[in-house]
Amino acid sequence: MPMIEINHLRKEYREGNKAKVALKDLSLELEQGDIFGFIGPNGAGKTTTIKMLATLLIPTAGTASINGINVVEHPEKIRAIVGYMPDFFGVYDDIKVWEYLDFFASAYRLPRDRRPSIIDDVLALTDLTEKKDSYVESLSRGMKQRLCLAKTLVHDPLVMLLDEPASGLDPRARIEIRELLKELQSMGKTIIVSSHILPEMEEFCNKIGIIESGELIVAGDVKTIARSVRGQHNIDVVVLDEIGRAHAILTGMSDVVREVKFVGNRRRSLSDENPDAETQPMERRIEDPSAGGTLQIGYTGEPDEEYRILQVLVQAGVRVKAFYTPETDLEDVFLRVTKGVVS
Amino acid sequence: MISNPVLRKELAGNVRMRQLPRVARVGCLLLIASLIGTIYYYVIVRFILADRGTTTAVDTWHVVVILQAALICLISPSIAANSITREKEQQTWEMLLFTMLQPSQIVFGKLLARLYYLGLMILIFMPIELACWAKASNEITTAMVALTYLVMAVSALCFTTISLYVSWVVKRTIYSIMSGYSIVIGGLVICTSLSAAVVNGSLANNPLMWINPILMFGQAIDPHIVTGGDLTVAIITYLLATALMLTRMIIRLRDFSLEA
Repeated sequence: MPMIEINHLRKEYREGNKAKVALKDLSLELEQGDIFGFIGPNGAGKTTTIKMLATLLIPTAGTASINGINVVEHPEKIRAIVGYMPDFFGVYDDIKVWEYLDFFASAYRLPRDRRPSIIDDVLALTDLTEKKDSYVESLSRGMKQRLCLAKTLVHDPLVMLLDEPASGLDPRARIEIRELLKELQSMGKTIIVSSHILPEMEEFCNKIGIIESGELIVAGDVKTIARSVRGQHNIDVVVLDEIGRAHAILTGMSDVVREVKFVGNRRRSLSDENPDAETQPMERRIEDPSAGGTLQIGYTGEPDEEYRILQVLVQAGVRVKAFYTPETDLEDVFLRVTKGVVS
Repeated sequence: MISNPVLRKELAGNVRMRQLPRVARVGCLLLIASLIGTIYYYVIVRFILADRGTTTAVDTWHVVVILQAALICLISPSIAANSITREKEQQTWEMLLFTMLQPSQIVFGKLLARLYYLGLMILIFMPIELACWAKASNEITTAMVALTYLVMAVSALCFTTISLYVSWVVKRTIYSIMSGYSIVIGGLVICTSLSAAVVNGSLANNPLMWINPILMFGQAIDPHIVTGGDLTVAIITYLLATALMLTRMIIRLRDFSLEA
């Protein structure tokens, strides 16, 4: 049984006499332990979907269930197994950190005698133990974000719905949140997380869904999506010398290799936050055919053919230093499948 | 009821003095206690008990009850005005609704926390009233004292519930405060008086005036000076309105927020 099952979910809002469609027939299945990255431009329908799963919005049509429980028919049961962190949230400033967590622990009906240890555990998990007796208003924004995550974890939910958990945070705080999500992943939680920071999403999400104008355009495994979007697999080959000969050999394998690009000695790092950086490894002209460098190969085949390409290069005496599948560029995938339309 | 998490959080969160150092807190409490003690001493010992007759006691009784009535009419409509709008403004409302708290826990937690502070403000006058009653028990009967406190309790409950209700309906605290005062001061005090005067040419013997809080307090402190009003009907009306508002909030607390 899937942990999260969504069938033809639809949400319409009334604006005067007109119905505005926020979400159109969204269907999705996630297994336990999946980390699903929900990607889409502002107004695409991510928050609407998350709120419907969190029982805070009633769908116009369709069904959604978590752990086999229908979210519309049994909202109380859903709230017991789901942790929800909204995109914009506040905290109660006028109480202490432990009081804040104790309030939510009691609101989730945790027994009084178990609450102190649970609070200590979630504070340790979110690295806030030292702030236990501080007033919430004294925390930094990143700490408040982690406190909100701690609150979300206090009843040990099976599923976590995190709407833009790292938005508005500085790089250090974002890294802390990312590390925390990785830890939750290792604990077996099923997580739906929406974010605009795509390089970070592909680092810990095993599945993604791209939504635009209320429609789920594509969903599934990150690499499979990248392949289907690009229509090919990519391999990076780093050679020590004779890059010109390696380029010629690969270009000659036209039955397997679709394109060969010389990308120099450096690829843009996926975590590079420089907005001026190229979104794609730029193809360059080979200045010195006898020098080393990196070639990016686009091919259409199966893993067997990766082996064949490597074999041909090695047998031809090309000194291959590295041969690997590059990280998927989620930003590239996102830009290819979306049109920049909001619903 | 004290196990209600919302009530405990509201009571803890509203006491800003908690953030002061212990010495400063004790100092503040001693200052307040000495101020109140001094007022009690002068009013009770030097004023009420010093009078050989009962006139001072009766007059003080009237003044104190009018003061309490004014406090209820002026503070109740706004005391719970931010109880839910503040949650909406600071974006904690959704997270509160997402917990497993029952709607009744949220509503009563917020209502009782506000009534607690209002009750403290009202009860602070009680020693003076008891002194008046002890000194002039012939003029200020036990039934009058009980009736006055009943009217105060019902009015405070009803007006605070109105305040809480509008806080649930609107999104901003400022609108909530304005709506609360419009209903209590504008509607119950001014409109009933104007309507009665226009319809009947007189404030007396007009059912519209029965729910006027000023008339209710007038009848409670001195049944002889005002005639025509029916205090029982007024109290039942207030209690009924309170029950209706609370029931609607409890039934629709989450529904309302869903599509808002």
